[in-house]
Amino acid sequence: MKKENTRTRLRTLLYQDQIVVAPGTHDCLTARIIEKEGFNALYMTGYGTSASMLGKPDVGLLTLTEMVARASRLVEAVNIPVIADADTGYGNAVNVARTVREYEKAGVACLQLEDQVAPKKCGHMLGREIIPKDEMVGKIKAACDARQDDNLMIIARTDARTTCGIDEAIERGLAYEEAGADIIFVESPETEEEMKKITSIFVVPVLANMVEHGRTPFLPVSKLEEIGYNLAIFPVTSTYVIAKAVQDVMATLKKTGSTESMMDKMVLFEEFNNLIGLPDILEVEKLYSTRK
Amino acid sequence: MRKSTLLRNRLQEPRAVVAPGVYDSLSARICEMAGFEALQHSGYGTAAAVLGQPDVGLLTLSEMVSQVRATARAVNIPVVGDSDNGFGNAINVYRTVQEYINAGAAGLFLEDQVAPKRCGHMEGKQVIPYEEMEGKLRAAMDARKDIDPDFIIIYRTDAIAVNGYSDALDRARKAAELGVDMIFIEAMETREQIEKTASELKDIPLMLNLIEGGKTPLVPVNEAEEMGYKWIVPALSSLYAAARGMLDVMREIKENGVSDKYLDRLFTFKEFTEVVHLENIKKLEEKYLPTSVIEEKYHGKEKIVG
Repeated sequence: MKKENTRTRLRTLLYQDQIVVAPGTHDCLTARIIEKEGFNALYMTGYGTSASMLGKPDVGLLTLTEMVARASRLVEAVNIPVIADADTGYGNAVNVARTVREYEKAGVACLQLEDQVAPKKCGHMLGREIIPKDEMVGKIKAACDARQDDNLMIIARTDARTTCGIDEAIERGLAYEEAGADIIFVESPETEEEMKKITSIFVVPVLANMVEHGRTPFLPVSKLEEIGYNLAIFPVTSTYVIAKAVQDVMATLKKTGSTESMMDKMVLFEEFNNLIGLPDILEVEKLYSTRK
Repeated sequence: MRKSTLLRNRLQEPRAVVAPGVYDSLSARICEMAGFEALQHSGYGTAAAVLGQPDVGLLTLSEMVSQVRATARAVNIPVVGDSDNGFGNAINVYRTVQEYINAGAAGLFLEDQVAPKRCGHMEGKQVIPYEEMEGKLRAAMDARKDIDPDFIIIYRTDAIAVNGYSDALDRARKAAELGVDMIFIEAMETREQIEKTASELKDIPLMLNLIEGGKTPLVPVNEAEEMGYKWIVPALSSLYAAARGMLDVMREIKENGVSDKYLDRLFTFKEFTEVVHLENIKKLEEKYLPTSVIEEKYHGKEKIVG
């Protein structure tokens, strides 16, 4: 099956009335599950990728190379648009230009740049610092200019809310929108009122970040849609659920010496093979077999 | 013996080590063939070789480590890595040092520039406060402790262009006191500075970076050694020689086609087998392939080439 252009698809989706839900993933297996469950976009989380690739927290240890390698594999694994976390862009505006090219070549539909200083931190941790607004505006402009495909969308994320308040965060969002950002992501608003303020002020689509136990009210998708968000991400949900499931089964194995009691919590052999596309491989084998 | 231990021991001997800058496996092999006993990996050369871009902080840790691994793997002598500013803060430095150790480097130098950094001989440099740099150096020294305690940590300061020579010297003194293994004051501008550094920092090995066309006067190796420099690095000679040689011959070919007029500027097919150790392959074949396969391959010929 030929791949569709996921970039134009994402752009179209974001300008329809219905909110787009992009669950987070840190690897290809999770990505396939998300696609199979019928979501029409997914979000590559830096937080989860740091845990998955390095076994380390999301504090700016991952390199551009590592993030792009993971993004590239996700794009290969699914047919839905991949929205990828690109942290701070890995340096200044000059680095951002390279970063955008690398993500573009990896095939993502959209990438997200934030206004934290490098090395960055997860948006729901404390101790985040932000760069001056005009420096970030330069980075957004560099990002927009660097892309070869104008359908590649750029998310501008501001981390200003926690240290500087909602007004500064919105002011930054407006400046990033003016600089050419396709989607605005005001990170960690703390009340529904703030969320409404955000959705009422921007012309371009706006993103809601739903982190379980994060700093933002945790609302159902229908409520986010009502508030006026165009895109909702659940970046850490799959990572956390995997961590919990593996922890439980390993604790049981260690304690009882068997996983028998956990079998109903597992995918079956055949189900798993189908999930990761074994039937497709068999099709391809048949198609190109030279045996009579 | 680990390459780090080898280098640490060697640095205790009186003579200086001349360590040419290298940027890939091939340049590393050629410098080893020329008889040098250690090599200095160059970020400037790596940016050019891997990205075709200038040395302005575009390379990622992953790309640098992969090139360090490539150079270290290609030779039998110690290779010291260029680790720029450690690719972030002290926490990143911790990871960087361990990645360089695992890549097979014998040591690395770590500079006090902001991120993104740039080549020490370019304009527009900025440095971080020494206090922050000290944290990065402490992280570097701790990171090697359990996996390669002999791993050499070199502090490079780029402060001359930003705050003047005396600040650079001051930073170097503090880092020496902290316990780094070597000091590298980058882009010294006069012979007086080169001499003063040597006389002020007598108790710690010193690195001297000599770049043709750079900011530092090209002091002859024997004079630098006499002043007390221990790690003398012609950082870009291999890169510039390769670039010049390639461009000249390619222009000749573009203009006049392939001929025997420029053969004196090329390795011969046969000579090149020594660069890449082709005969080792033959030895492995003889050791591990069935005799019948070898006979079928070579029909009694003794060498793969020549």
